[in-house]
Amino acid sequence: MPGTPGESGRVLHAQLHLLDRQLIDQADGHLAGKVDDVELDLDADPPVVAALITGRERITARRIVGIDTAVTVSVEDLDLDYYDDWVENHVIAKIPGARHAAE
Amino acid sequence: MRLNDLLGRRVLDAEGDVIGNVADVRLVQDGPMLVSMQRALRVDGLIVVENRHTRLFGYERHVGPELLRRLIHARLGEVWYLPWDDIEEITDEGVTIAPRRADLRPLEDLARY
Amino acid sequence: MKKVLGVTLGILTAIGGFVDIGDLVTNALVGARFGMHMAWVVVVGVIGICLYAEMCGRVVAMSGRPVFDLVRERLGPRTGLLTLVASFLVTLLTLIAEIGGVALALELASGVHYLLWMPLAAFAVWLVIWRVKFSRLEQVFGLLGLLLVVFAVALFKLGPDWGQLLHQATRPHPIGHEDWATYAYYGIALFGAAMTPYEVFFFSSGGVEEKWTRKDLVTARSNVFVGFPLGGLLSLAIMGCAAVLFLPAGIKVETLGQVALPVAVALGKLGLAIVLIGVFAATFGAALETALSCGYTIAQYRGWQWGKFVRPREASRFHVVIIVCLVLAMLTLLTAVDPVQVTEYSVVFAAVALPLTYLPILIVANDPDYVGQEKNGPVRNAVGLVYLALLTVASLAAIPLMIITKGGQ
Repeated sequence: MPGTPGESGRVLHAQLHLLDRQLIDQADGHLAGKVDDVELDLDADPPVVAALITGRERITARRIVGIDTAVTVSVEDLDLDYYDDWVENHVIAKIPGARHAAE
Repeated sequence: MRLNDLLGRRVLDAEGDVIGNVADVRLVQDGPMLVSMQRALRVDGLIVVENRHTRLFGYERHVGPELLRRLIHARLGEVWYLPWDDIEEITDEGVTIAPRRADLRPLEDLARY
Repeated sequence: MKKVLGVTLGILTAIGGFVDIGDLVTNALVGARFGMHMAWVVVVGVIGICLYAEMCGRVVAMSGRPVFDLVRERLGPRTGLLTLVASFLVTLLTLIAEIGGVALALELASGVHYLLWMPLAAFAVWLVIWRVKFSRLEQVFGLLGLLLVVFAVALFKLGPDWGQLLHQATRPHPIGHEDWATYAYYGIALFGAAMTPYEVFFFSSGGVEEKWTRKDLVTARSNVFVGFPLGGLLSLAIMGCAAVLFLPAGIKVETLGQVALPVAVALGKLGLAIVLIGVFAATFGAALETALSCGYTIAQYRGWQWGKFVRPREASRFHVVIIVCLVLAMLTLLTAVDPVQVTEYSVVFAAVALPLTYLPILIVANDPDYVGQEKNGPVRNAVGLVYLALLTVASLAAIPLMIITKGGQ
């Protein structure tokens, strides 16, 4: 990527580098959805990227930890795994062996 | 404003003539400091293409096989970079800009980061 | 030493894993109808899959991003979704064919009707995906698939007129009462069989499953550049056997039994036993790969957690997709469709879906954001573009040719 995270003056393109990128949860490295849209605050001075949108969740820009070939975010209390958890609890967890790593 | 709403929006010059569409938003990471110890992504300007086509496949950055890049650019027509200060207003009708078509700066002139 | 062993194992796995039901059926069928007059298509197809699999392997090793992540990222949600639907349906169709192939191999070995074996086969595929470690499932079935080398042995044992086979191979045109339309149609089928899209989905996702880094580039490349061409030779041996045995007799290949027959003729019962185990392993291995690929494509497009490197419950939607696909495959086969015909159609539809899958790979393999210094050189790009053009032509011509030739009749 152009420059390391946090570096000042790095150039990115909203569509090319943010839109449709993989989101990764900083806490456990799990895949947490795709960037479906980007919210821009054009009235701010200067105008900035305000948030990333994935599914029904809004990830504010301050949670962005790094932008690389995937976007790492600090998920904290956001419920990005809602559907995965639903499927897990209603289907997958009921099948024997779901909790164990493969051998 | 949502990026997906901005992409593909018409761009009109001061005289109300359509010159193209928004293809991407150029961001520079030098905005205010965020909690995550990073700087905010400041909106620096828009990338505007002449023909209706919103996906550049990253080709504005001169990567990829030469022939494919030429094919894509041939479909896009002109590609300009529009600094944020040149934008008058953004409405549902389109993005109105101050400069005239002839005064626009081709994206090519911009440093390839 | 350990490294050499790893590389060798990888190559052997790649050879055994290269051939699937599509290659078995299409190569035998084409050999019986056109002799070796279409052998060049296998060569073209193998070069193509090597080229693009190497790009995927490199992108994964350098950036950790598998193919369908890139498809969505570069093509956007709309074109990306079209690619997803096409690739997913083709992969599902291939999964149906592979499970049918497993069941048919069991029928040939036991005499019990394949429809009785089929649910067992589908369940076994699921169980292996659910419980067996990625590297182990890849290796076991890849190595067992190597038994298909018996086709090459059989070809020698049949004692063909090598000069005549070579003569056929250097004359790329239809023979007998076959016309150019059927020739082109089967050419596309053979091309699709060699370059099936799930191979790159599986290869690149496998790179993530096995946590490839820059250090693994050697492994990735040796698998591709040594393993795949040797796998291609196996395909040619299958074609050669059919060309020697069926073409002069004017027999058309319509069943999996006929595909295996030349080995039985040349090597007797032992040969038959080996080829059946080989066919079983190859189709079972490919059933695992296609079932996983059904999950990989959808999960990667949507950004869901996927993969066997996490516990099943952590990738719950990925596992549900696989289960649903296996159930769909079972239900489709229960309608008593002929798995061999499903195979024939799956390889043609594979050719239709290919260009949109390979375009983003070519673009990203040039993007320093993803691959750093390991960008495509001018030669790779030139060949990559030639193949993209070739794939586009094949993709556009496939359906019209299918209609004109009434599916190759």
